[in-house]
Amino acid sequence: MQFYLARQLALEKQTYKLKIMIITKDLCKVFRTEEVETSALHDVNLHIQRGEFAAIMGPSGCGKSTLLNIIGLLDNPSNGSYIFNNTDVTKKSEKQRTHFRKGNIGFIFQSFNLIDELTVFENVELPLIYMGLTASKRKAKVNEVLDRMNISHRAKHYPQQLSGGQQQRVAIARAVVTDPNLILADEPTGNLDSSNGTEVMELLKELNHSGTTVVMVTHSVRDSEYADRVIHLFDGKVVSENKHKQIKREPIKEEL
Amino acid sequence: MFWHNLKLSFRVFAKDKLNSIINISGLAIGIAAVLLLSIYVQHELSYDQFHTKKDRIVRLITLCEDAGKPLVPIVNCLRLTKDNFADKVPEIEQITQSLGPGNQSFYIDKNEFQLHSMSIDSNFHKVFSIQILHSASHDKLFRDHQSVAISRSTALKLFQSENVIGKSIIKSGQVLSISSVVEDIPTTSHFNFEILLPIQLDENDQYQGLEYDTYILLQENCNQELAKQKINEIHTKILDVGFGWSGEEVGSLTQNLLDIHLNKTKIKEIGGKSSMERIYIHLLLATLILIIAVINFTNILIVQSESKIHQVGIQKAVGATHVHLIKSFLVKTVSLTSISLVLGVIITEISLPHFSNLMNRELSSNFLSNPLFLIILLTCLLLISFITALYPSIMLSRFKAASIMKGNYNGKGKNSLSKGLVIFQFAVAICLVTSVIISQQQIHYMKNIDLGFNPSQVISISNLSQSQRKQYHAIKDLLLQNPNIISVSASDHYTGMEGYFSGEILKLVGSENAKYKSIDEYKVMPDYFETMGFEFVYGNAFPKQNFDSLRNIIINEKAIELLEIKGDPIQQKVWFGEEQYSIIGVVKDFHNNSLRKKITPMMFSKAFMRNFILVKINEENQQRTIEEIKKVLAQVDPIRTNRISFAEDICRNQYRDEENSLQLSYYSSILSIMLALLGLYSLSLFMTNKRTKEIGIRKVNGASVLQIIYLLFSNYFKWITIAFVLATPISYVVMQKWLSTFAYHISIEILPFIIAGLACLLFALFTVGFQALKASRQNPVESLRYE
Repeated sequence: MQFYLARQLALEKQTYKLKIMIITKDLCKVFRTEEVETSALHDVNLHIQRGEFAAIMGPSGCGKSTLLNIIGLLDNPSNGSYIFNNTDVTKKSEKQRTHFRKGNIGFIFQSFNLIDELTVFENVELPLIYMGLTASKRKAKVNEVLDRMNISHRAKHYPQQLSGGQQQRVAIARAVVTDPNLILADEPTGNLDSSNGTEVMELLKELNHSGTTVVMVTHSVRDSEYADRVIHLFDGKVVSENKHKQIKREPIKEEL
Repeated sequence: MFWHNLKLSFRVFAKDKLNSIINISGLAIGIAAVLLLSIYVQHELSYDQFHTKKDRIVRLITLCEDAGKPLVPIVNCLRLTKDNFADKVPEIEQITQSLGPGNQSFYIDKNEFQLHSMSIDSNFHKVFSIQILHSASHDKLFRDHQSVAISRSTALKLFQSENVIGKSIIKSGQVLSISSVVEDIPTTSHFNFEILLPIQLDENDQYQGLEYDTYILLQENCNQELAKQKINEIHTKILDVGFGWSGEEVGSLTQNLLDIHLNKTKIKEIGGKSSMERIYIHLLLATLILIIAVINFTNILIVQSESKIHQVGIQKAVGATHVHLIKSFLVKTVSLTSISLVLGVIITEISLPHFSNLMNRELSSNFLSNPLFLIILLTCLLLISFITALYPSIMLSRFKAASIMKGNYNGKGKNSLSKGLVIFQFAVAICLVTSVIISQQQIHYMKNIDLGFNPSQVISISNLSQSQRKQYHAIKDLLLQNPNIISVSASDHYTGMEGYFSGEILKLVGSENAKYKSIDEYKVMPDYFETMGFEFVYGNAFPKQNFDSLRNIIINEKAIELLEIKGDPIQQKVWFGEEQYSIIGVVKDFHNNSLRKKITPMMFSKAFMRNFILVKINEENQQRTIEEIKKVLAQVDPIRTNRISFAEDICRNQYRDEENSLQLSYYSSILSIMLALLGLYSLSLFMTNKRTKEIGIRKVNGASVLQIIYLLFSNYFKWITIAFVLATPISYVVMQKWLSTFAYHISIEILPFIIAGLACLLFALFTVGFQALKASRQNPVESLRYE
């Protein structure tokens, strides 16, 4: 019996391990300047499952973006550990982090962060170039994703020629063109009006439904309601985690 | 307000030390280069300006046929005096003639001194402004024919005192007394002297040829053009009497004193030569350097202010007007420019002696006391400050505060100018580097070419005394007893030195109707050909027996063509003067000139001056042999100091001008590379700054450090390639033209261009490499955080 239980536990652990994508343990981040030391994150423990849609909320300066950057392997934590896809990536060098990011993680920013000098097509193509795909494969993928984002008629335009909502759709297209497992969105609707914002959130929901894990930092309660779970941060600490089971994959109609 | 702005600008300076230091020193170097060039130009333009009668002084020039070329100007004239010349033109107030200048040996108490001497007639100081400090007979330079005049600094050098009237000095055994001391003339004079001799005293006075430098002082308020016309007519008549018999054409020319240094008439000079073109080139260069330095300076300043763009936004938001912003920018640029100016002046002071050396001039270092330079400096300060302040101030202050604060600002559009400038700077650098390499190759070629004779291991002894010349045969016998001495000879001329030969006229016996042909001549002693390693094509060298009585000459191959000799040249006879001489040998053509000039027809005849003793020695124990040679010379004349040099060095080292200008272009190319790199640095700072966000985005999307570096480098590579493509043909054409001034020259290869291009590329990559590396390694979070 004991043996059975132990085996069962081990099995469960293993499936949990498979199910889980992000584990942070006692994660700390300290920023140092010559005189001041600022603690941005303090003992953050998080588990995010594969296919989950998590929102991180909190007031300005609570460490949301810092956490997102560490999750996105753009930054290293000062202390604690971070396991991504069953690999400890806490102490990886920049080169290794770049390697892990490639094709695995897509980023969406509040200010879109498109390159002004590149066309819509070229912007979306960028991550594929760095993955080393051939031109014909790249073309097929980009066109497919632009179609999906309903923006293919703008392929030859430059970012400045598009509306904010269109620009964010290009940014999302760029984030998903590599079929990543994880999409990290930093206030994706922050620069958009409400109708464009809703459009973007719907897109994210769709992506999540098709199996992509989404972690989103947001200020907006309405946006957070798209998520399975809301993690509240305050002064660098996780203060609560709420699950929106009942509204999972079902946006509130009256708010639309 | 002013102090607030000043404080602010120094804080900005302190915060961005590297860029500020690069910027200030870049401008300082530019200013130093401009100052040095202006000092040089000012120096060149001030030549002969110190003569009070400068506007009325003209130099007389002889025109005569030379080596088949009609009417070549020669700076020397026949002996012209008041009686035979000046009195015939009423517009002439004075005429003066001089000989030299040249170095001669003088003795004081058996100590030998080499003094730069000039022989002049008694009118010299009436034409030129020579200030007499002390004189034995008031107002006169010379008391009699046994007296001399010396300059103040020479008096101090020789006697350690200034008033040395009555002291004696010995020249060629003759005791001369010093009858006057004159003030040193400025270095900006086309002639210069340490000691002045009365013209009758000079042994060369016996020559009635073209020997004398002739200067004429015209009457005040006369019609100068008319006067010059008359002078030329009379001068031509006198020359016709002197040279008419040979059938040579003659003419005359006058040259204003102030035109001499800048050589508006193309003649062989007696002083240092320069030209108006040179002045223009230097002025152009100075302007160009200044413009480039200012643009670089502005570029870096703009980058520095762009990172402070938020500050401008805040200033505007709290109520700063355009004027306030422009003022604050002006304070910053004026303070930075002032620091650069001071630094530039210091650099100028430090490098001036070296620069003077390089330009072969004595440039005065007290340029700061010259009001002209203070004006130049002040203008520089104002101009640079305004140009550098105006553009960014207007550009930055025009932006709406709100849009800057939101981060919507991007300074587009001005890059093309900076890019163009960087490309231009690199093109200049590549041109200069290729020219340095090509001239280096040409000089190497000239110094190592097969001369056609073999002067290696030949010692040339010059500055021989009369007794040494007279006892040449005894010296020769003594020298030949030394087992390390292979052969001994003597000549009247240096061998293989440009323009160092006599001129004669010859014609073949039997062609009585033909004109006499001009031919260059070396006068030599027996064993000359053996000592100097000449090869004979026909016949033999001069026989040792009856050398003095036989009427023989030897010619080179070119002379066969000149004299139109058909068949065997040996035993052909030529008219040499009034007598017939036989050709007994023909030597292979050799470089009797420097490689600038073609080999000319040559003849060898008997020496009588014996200016040089030539000694071929063994390679072993060279130093000891030379000591032994000195001993032998001292046996004959114990007080004379002879000059001993290697004959080969004399031939090979006559490219001082080219080596000097090579050195100058070497320094200019270093300067141009420095400026170009500075420009590249500022531009790359500008571009990297602007691309920070792009780099961040690319990194987030998976770009590696190497890929980012490649991205940044590919631009610089492109610019340098464009610069290379622009520079190569220009450099090729210019250098081809320069090479064509040499009769014998190398052909341009592709290697110098490749070296120059690669060098620029390497330097450029090194300059931007650090920045590119920094930019590519930055954490993308940093650049994307505050969007």
